[in-house]
Amino acid sequence: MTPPRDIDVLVAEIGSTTTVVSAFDGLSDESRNAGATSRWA
Amino acid sequence: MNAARAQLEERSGALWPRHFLATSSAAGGLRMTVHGLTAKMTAMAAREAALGAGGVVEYQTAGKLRRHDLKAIAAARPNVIMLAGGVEGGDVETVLHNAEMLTQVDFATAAAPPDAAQTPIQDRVLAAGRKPMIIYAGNSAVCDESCEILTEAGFHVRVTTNVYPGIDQLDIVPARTVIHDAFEDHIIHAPGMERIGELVTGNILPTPGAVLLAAETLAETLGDLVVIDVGGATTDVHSVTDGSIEYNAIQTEPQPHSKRTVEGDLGTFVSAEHVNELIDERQRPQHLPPAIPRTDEDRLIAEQLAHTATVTGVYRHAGQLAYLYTPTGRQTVARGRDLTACRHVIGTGGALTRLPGGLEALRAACARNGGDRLLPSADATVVLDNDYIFAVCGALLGHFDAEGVVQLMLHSIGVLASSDAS
Repeated sequence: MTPPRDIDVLVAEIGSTTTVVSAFDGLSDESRNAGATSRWA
Repeated sequence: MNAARAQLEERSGALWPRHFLATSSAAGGLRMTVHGLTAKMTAMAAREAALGAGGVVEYQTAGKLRRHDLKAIAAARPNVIMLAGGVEGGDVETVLHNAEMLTQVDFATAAAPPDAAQTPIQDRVLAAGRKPMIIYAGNSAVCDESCEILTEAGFHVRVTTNVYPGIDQLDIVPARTVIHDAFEDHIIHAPGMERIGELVTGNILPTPGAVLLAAETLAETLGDLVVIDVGGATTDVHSVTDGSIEYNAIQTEPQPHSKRTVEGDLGTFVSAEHVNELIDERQRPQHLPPAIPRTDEDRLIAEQLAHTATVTGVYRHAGQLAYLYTPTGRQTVARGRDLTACRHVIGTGGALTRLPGGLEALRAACARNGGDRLLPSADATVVLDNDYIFAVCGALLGHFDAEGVVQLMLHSIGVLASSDAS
């Protein structure tokens, strides 16, 4: 089983009818060295 | 929220975040009432502070509260009440009177049943017996006295600086942080929402407040700008500008550096009927689209509604030139928001970024052939938040270097991005 990937942050946008969660990496000092900023949504 | 995360992890694999942040516009966002001494001074400042924080101003008063106002405040079911009034060293009587009067508002009878499944979060908080939070933003001379009156009546009170400390002075930024804290405190105490507080490691911001934070930070790189967010129910217009030198000299109304207005009658779904009435009868669609248009015809109609909402929202947000006739002749003055120095006009929200025609709508919102409205210039750069990322960036700003967050926004609008996002 693949271990969870460390990332900087998840952000939830909670709306009345939908919730969108986005993941970001490459924003903090420790992750920035690993490469460009990434986002999944 | 867990379901949304699970969907994401189906595609990305399991994730272990160092932070978990959130913005919320659930159930219409943060409902507020604002109260001041005079309509165009302290009450206006309290309103600007509330809107800038992402609140929805449901009721506003100037002067001493009357019995009629108490009923209206209860009916507004506010989550947060902002009590302003009196410049520093000025009137104290009105704000003290209003503090006393607020203790007489009967919030319990206006609240919905706590267990109603469809009851919005905010109403569930009131129904659980929790009174709205009060933010004191008035004359500091009677701050302690006012807070004592309200605390003894069972209100949770927070204090910020006077939002209108002197004539023509606005000081609304400190109030914004206090309103954001109040919003979070309120949300996590709502029955059924307690787990959000456990999951989220940072602040929970009102979504429109997050967009304004993002716009302010982007303006430090791009210069003065306007951000327009057309939604299903409302159109929000955010501007970050001190106006042009030309009109500053004749400005008659003090303006904050960053300002948000929300038009409750301009949207592509909930408010579509009203927007439709603004369209020329000959071009008016015969039916209105669903929340998410699926057919080509519905997409075309939604695009037409978004176009009208954008043009109307920016027009209302902008101030205008006015002419005074004096014994020495006609004088020109500027009233309200001067957008003429804004060099970027940015569209965000589903309607502008996911339907065709977003850029055309933004261009149409800019000035054409002069006119008295202080609109962005016709040669301003119009761009779209293609990644629909501004609200998220507002949340990220409190936790990460602004430089990286600005890069995300620049990439999204296709301007000067220096690193790639994937």
